[in-house]
Amino acid sequence: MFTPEEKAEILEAVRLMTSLQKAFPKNDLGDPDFDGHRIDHLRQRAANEKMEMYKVSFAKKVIAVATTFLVGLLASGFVSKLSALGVLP
Amino acid sequence: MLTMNAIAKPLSKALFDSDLIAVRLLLAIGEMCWAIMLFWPGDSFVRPTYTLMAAVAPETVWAVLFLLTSVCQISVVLFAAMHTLAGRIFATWNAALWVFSVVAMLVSVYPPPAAIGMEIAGMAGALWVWARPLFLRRWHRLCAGGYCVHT
Repeated sequence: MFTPEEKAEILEAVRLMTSLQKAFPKNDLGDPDFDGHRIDHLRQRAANEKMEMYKVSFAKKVIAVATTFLVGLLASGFVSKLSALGVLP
Repeated sequence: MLTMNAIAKPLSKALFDSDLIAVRLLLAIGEMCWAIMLFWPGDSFVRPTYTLMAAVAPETVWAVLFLLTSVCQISVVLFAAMHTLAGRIFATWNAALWVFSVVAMLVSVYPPPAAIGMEIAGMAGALWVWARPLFLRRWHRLCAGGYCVHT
């Protein structure tokens, strides 16, 4: 049989498990919804990845627009300078 | 080799995962400086750079607008009202004020005045303060079931 120390440990483990179960919402059977919690986390992870994709895609557009704008501006300035110096007609 | 992804990922963090309080405070300082200099004795609006702004309203009106905007900007930061309806309406007004002021100065003179470099940066900042929540809200809606912010 169990020693008094072992009994105390088992009782403590049961107490912890009971309070842990209270952290979960109940499913339609009235039990703690561990599986629903897992699925919820998977959904959150998928949604976060999708959000990240939107952000990175926007950043790529910003880079493309900024690069095009700057290169265009510098090129037009360069051509104007060359024309002013008489290098270009 | 520097790839587009290597730049885009940190840029997306800087654009979307940073707070914009420093931008708002810089805008508040800029707006306060505009108000002080427009209230300063003398006629600033005779200069060609301000031709279009002068056509819209007298110098003192612009000074009052910038002063009120600066006070509101500081209040939004102090009372953390960025995401309230009033905060959003203010962000719209603020972006409009900066866009109009900068465009008005750019179209009034040629070549573009180098001294308004920080005003152009301020306009970009004000536009981003206004636009970023709109992008994020739209993307949150598009993400499955609205789960997005839990990390």
